[in-house]
Amino acid sequence: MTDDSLSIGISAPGRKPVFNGPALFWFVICALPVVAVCLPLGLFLATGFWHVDNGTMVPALSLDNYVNFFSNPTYVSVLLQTLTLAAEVAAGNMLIGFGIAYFIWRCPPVWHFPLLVLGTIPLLMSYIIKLYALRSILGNNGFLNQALVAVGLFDKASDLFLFNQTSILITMGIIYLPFSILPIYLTLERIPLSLLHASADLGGSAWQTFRHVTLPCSLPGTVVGGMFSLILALGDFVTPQMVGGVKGFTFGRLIWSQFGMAFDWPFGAAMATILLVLSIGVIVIAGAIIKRTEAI
Amino acid sequence: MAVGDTALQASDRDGRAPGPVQSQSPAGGSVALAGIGMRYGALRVLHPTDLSVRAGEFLTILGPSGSGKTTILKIVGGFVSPTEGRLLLDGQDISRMPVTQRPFNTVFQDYALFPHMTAEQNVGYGLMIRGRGRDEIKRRVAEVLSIVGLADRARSLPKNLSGGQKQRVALARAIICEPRVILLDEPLSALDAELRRQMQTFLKDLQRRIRTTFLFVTHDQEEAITMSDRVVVMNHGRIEQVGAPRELYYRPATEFVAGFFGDNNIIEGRAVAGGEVETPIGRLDLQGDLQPGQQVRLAIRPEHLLLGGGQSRQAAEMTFSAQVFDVDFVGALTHLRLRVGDGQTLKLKVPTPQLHDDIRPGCDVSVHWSRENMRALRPTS
Amino acid sequence: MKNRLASLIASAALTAVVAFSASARAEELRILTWEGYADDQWVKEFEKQTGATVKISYTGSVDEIFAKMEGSKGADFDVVAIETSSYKRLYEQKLIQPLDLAKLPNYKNLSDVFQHIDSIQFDGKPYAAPYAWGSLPLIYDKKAFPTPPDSWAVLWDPQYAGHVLAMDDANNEISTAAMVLGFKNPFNLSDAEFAAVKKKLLEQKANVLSYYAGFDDGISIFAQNDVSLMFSMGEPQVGMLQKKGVDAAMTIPKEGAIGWIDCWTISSATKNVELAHKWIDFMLEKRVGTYISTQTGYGNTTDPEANQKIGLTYADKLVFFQPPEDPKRRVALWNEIKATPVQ
Repeated sequence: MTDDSLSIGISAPGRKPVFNGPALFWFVICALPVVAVCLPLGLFLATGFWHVDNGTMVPALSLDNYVNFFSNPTYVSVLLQTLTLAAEVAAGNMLIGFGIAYFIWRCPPVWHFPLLVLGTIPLLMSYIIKLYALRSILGNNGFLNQALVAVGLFDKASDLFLFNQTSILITMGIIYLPFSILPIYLTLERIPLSLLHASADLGGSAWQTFRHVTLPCSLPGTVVGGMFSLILALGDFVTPQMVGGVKGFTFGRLIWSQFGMAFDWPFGAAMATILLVLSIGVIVIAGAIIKRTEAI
Repeated sequence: MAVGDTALQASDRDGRAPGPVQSQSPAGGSVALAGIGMRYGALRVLHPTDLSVRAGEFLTILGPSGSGKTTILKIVGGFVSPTEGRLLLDGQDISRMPVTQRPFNTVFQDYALFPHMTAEQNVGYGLMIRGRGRDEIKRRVAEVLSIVGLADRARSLPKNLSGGQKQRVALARAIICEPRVILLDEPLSALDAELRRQMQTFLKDLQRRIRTTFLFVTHDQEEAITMSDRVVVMNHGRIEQVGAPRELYYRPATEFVAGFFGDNNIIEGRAVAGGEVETPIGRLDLQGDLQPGQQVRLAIRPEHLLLGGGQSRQAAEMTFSAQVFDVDFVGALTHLRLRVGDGQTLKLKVPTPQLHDDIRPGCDVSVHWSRENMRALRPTS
Repeated sequence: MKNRLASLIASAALTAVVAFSASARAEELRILTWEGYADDQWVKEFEKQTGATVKISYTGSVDEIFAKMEGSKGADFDVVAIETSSYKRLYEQKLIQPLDLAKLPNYKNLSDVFQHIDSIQFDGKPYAAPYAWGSLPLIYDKKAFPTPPDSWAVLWDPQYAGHVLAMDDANNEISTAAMVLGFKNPFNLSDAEFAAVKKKLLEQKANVLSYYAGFDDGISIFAQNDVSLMFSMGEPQVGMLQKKGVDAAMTIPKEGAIGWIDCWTISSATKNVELAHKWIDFMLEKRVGTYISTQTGYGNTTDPEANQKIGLTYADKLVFFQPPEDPKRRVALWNEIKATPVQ
C-alpha cells in the first residue's frame, strides 16, 4: 500500500500505472465528443420513434412518425420541392462561386487575400442581419427598385425581386456564396503553376488549358462548394420564410413548425432525421465524386 | 528501386532496335541568345547574355540557385519574356513567339504531370492538343512509353507511380511532339542518388538516340560533367565560363568555376616581372602575360600534384619539399594534406596502391607538378 | 500550485456554507416569468415588506416554462406567470394549485372582465390571477384606409391582393379565420369547421404578400413594401411602424379579435404558499397595474384609466386564448395551406 502510494508518478519497471496523465487526457478528449455530440444525436434519433400523448413525450418505439410522413403527399412534395430548390441554389453557386474564385485566382497574388476577405466578410455578419439587409435592397421600396426607377429602366417599383421564387434563389445564393467560393478557390490555389505551364508548353491554348487542366483539377473544390450550398439550403428554415412570401414554405420550416408550433417533437425529430440522412447522402455522393476526381 | 532497374534495362533493350521516333525525329535545333537579359524592377536576375546552343548538343547550364540558369530556361521556353535581347532558333528571331507555338518542350522540376490523367493520357496530351486522331495518338504514345520503359504503366495515375517513373512519363510527354529542343529544369533533383545516376545514363542515351538538342539546368556539378557535351557555368546572373566538362574541370577560368568544381588548390600570389608569380611557396614561373604587381590566384587540381621529386627535372616541372600533416584513406584514393613553404596548404589525391606505407603525418616529402596544369584565375566579378 | 488549489477548494466550500446558511435564514421566493413582469423596483419593495429574498428566472418561451416546470414537478419555482391557454395543461399535469382568495385582498381590484376567465378556472376554483393583457388586432395603413376597416373581410378583398401581411402561426390564423366565419368557439372546431377554415385560408393566401414570423419581421416587411393591412401580433407593432414612418393604426374589427392574458399562478410544489400569495396580492395592487400599462404598452387588469390612456379599451371585445382542441391538427392544416400553391 505504502509502496503504491510512493510510486505514483514514477513508472515502476514492468508495471504501468493504470491512470497516468496522458491516459486521462485522452480519455477526456475522447469522452467529450461522445457526451457532447453522440449522446444528444442519439437521443434525437431515438425521439423520432416516440410520440406525444396529451402534451408529453412517450418513449415507446414505433415507426408511426415515418409512416405518417411518407404517406402524406403534402409533406413528401414539400421535401421534393425543397430538394429541387437546394439543388438550384447549389448549381448556381457552383457556377458563380467558380467564376469569382477563378477571377480572384487569376488576379495578381497580392490581391488574393484582400479579395478573399472581401468575398467572405458576409460570413462575419449575422445571418438575420444579412436577410434584413437583402430584403431592404430587394423590397418594393428598396434600393434596387429605386435605382431601376431612377435610371429609367422601370416605370414604377416592381414586385419582381421579393416574395417569390426568384428572391429565394437570389437570397440563398448570396448568403451561401462564400461557402462555395472558399473551397473552389482553395483547390484552384493548390494547382501548381507548372501544370499550367506544362499545358501551354505542349501547345494548349488558354481555353484548352482551362478545359483539360484547370477545370478537372479544381473539380473536388467545386463539388465541395456545391455540397456546402446544397446542405445549407436544404436545412434553411428562415431564408425562404423571410424572402419567399407565400411561396417560401420549405422542409426546414415544416420541421420547425413541429417544434415551435405543434409541440410534436417526435414528429419533428423524425423529419429532422430524414433531413440528416439526406444530407449525409449528399456528402457521401460528393465524397464519391471527389474520390474519382481527386488524384493529387 | 527494383522496378526502376528493370524498366531502365527494358528501355535500353528497346533502344537498340532503331525506333520510329528516331527515324522521324528532325534534327535538334540551334538556339542563340543575343543580349538576352532579365530584370524585375531594380532586381537584375540576368545580365545581357550571349549564348549559342548548337544543334543536337547536350548543353547544361550549371550554377547555384539565383545564378540565373532557370531564368534562361524560362526565357527560352517562352514562360517569361526577357527585358532585353533577342532569341533565335536556327537563326530566326522567335522572341515574340508565344510559348504554345515554340517547337520546344519542357521537363519540369516537379514533373508537372496532370494528376487526373493516366500516364498515357499525360504522354498523349500534346498530340491531343494538336488534334491528332485517336489511333495515331494511341500508337505514338505506346511507342514513346516503351522507349522510356513504361509500357506496362500506361494506365496508372501519377500518384501511383514512383519518382523515377514519373520522371520518365514527363520525358515521354516532352519528346512525343518531336520538339527541336528539350528543356530540362533540374529534372533529377528529387531523385535519390542511385536512381539519379541511372537516369543520367538514360537521359544521355536518349539524347543520342533522338538527336534533339537538350538544354539542361542543374546545380549539381557531377551531373553536369557526366551528361553534357558542353557546360555553361553561371553565377550572379552572368556566364562565368562555357566549355566541355574536362575543360571546366581542369582549366577553370575563374575563381568561381574553380571553386564550383570543388577542392582545387588555390595559391595566392602577386605577379612580378617576367611572367613569374611571388607566392608563399616561392616564386613560380607561369610564363603568362601578367601585369607586374597584379594580385593572382593560381589553381591546381589535387590529382595533378605528385609525390616525390620530379623525374624529368624539366623546366615545366615545379618541385617543392613539404610536410605531411594529414592522411585520409577514402578507398581507391587517399587524400593527403601537405604544408609547403610559408604556411601554404596543398591537397593531394593519390591512388592508394601507389602510396608508400611510411607516408604518415609528420614525415617530409617532396611534391611536384607540371606547369601546364596550373592556371591563373580570372577574378569573379 | 497545490496550495493554490487547496485554498480555492476551501473558499468554494466556504461560499457554499455561507450561501446555504443564508438561504436557511431568510425566506426565498422563486419566480418564473417573462422579462418586464417583475421589475426591480417592485422586487425591492416586496423584499423590504416581507424580509424575503426574491430569485427570478426569466424565460423566453412557453416551451421553456413547461420544460422547467415539468422537469422539477413544480418544485423549482413558487410562482409562475403564464398565458391563459397553457393552464389546462398545467392543471392536468398537477403542476399548479388553486388560489386562496382569502389571502388575496387585492383580488377585488381586478376589473369585471378579468374576474371570471374560463380558461383559468378548474373545478369551480380560480387557479390564477390575471395581470397583463393584449390582443392580436388588425393593423392598417391610414393612407389606404382613411376610415378604419370594420371587418377582417378586407384581408380577403382582391382589391388588396399583394398588400396583405398574414402571420406564420397556425393557431392564430385558424382561430381568426374561424371568428370571421362566425364559428361559436374558435378554439374548438368541428371537422366541418376545419374544412371551412382551410378553404377560407387558402382563399386568403392568394391575397397575401408574405406570412411574417415575428414582431420585427412584420414591421420590416410592412415598412419596406407596399403593405396596407397586417394581421398583427400585438399592439406595440403600431408604435414600431409609426417610428419607421408608416402612418399605421390598429382596430378591433366587428368579428372581435384574439386576446391573451398573462396570469400569476402558484406551483403545486411550492415550499411557501403564504409568500407566494403575498407576491400575487402585491402584483394586484393598482399602482403595479398602472406601471404595466405605462411601461410596456400592454393592458393591465386593475387600473382602467391607465388602459384608457393607451387606448386599450376593448378587453370585452376579445376572445381570450384557450387551449386549442388539437394543436397537431392545426399545425398540420396550416402546413398544408402553406404547401398548397396559389395562382
